[in-house]
Amino acid sequence: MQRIACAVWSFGPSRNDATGPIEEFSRAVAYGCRPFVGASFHLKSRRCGGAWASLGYAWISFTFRLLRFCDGTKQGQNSSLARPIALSEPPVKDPPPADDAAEAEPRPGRVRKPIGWSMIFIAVLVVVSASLVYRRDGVDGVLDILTHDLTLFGGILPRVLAGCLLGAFIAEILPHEKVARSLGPKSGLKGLLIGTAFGAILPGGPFTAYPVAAALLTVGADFGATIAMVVSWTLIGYGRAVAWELPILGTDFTLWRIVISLPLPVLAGALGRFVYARMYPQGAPP
Amino acid sequence: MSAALLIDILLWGSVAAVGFIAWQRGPVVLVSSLREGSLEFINIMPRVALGVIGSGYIAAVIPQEIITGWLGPNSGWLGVLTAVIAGAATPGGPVVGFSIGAVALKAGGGPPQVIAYVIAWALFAFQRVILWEIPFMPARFVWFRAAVSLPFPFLAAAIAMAIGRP
Repeated sequence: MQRIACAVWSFGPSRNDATGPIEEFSRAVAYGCRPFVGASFHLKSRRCGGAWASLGYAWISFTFRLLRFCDGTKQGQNSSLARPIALSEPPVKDPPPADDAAEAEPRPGRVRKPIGWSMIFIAVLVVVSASLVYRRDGVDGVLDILTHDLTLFGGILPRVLAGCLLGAFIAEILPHEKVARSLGPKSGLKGLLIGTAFGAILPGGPFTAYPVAAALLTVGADFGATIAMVVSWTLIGYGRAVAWELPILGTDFTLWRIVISLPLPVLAGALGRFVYARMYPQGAPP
Repeated sequence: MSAALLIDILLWGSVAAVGFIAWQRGPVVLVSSLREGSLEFINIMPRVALGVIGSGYIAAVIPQEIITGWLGPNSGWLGVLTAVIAGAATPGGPVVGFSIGAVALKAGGGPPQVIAYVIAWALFAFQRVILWEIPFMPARFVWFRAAVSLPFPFLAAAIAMAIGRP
């Protein structure tokens, strides 16, 4: 528990004084992702006991994935490599030709760290809760809950397998590049709808969604369409819903939650476009 | 139960459909996707096990009257606000977020409040924003997106109250 508290606490400082690495990150996303290794070492050097060790592991695997991602990206980004893009400039100012965008698509792979600290957090929570149940209700209480939840778990296993297979297949066959072409600032409602649909069918976890969103930004999608995509991925993406929400929260709740969420990505994208146009009437930030 | 069956049919139907498309691209594509999917499944299984089996225990010890007080059907907009703040502050991956949502539901939370919680967690859980989103994307975009997303958990709760579901 102390480890977790330590990790939570340490996000504050690392966020505040890590402007360097974060700026590096964003610039890297804008033109080719090379400084990632250095940046990850930056963050790694601030240690905080065991939690940082596991975070360090996460960062290393993260770095390797990014390097793989960058191999796919560099060819597509040559045109913008010539000129460094500062953090305060719009990332969409000088988009490479749409054909290059096809090359820039990262292969959506999936590598999960075997034990993240969220796992440790929930494991500690479960162990503490189970021992509390044991003290209150004895062995019978613990076994009752265990058998009930094991039945539930057995029932949802095939569904999780189906979700994993579906994600893997779609990652292979999805024509990312065609979608990326129609998401510019002038794409109107259609662009927002395409962004929403794209986010909804995008397979994989954050490893897939955020690199693809960043790639969309660099190849000419505007904030609105990208917001629609990211929000749609988090709210109506099938991956998380099938693998996690359905088993944990139940079919009824999940379906209604998704139905209620359906309009939100388009609204968020439209609001994003509206605010962006008011904030930067010239199309360029101050 | 029929809804669950429908989901299963849809799910396996789409697996078969995309599997067929992959097979048309060549057997190598099919085999590598199958392998990747199965590896993902093996990878993910312990987390699902922990989340599903664990949430029963967490639900059993969380004092129900506190949850019903905070997020209960009668907590109204204050409950929604609490849920949004709690969602943003929840650390960890999907297991944690959805498990806490499930706990709140099992312990008598109001569905609109739980929906606000789940959506707020999905939109701007601080840990995901800092660990995943900022590293991958321009920081300016990330903060812009988080700020623009702010009204939507409330809107979702309002829709849920209006239609009286789930």
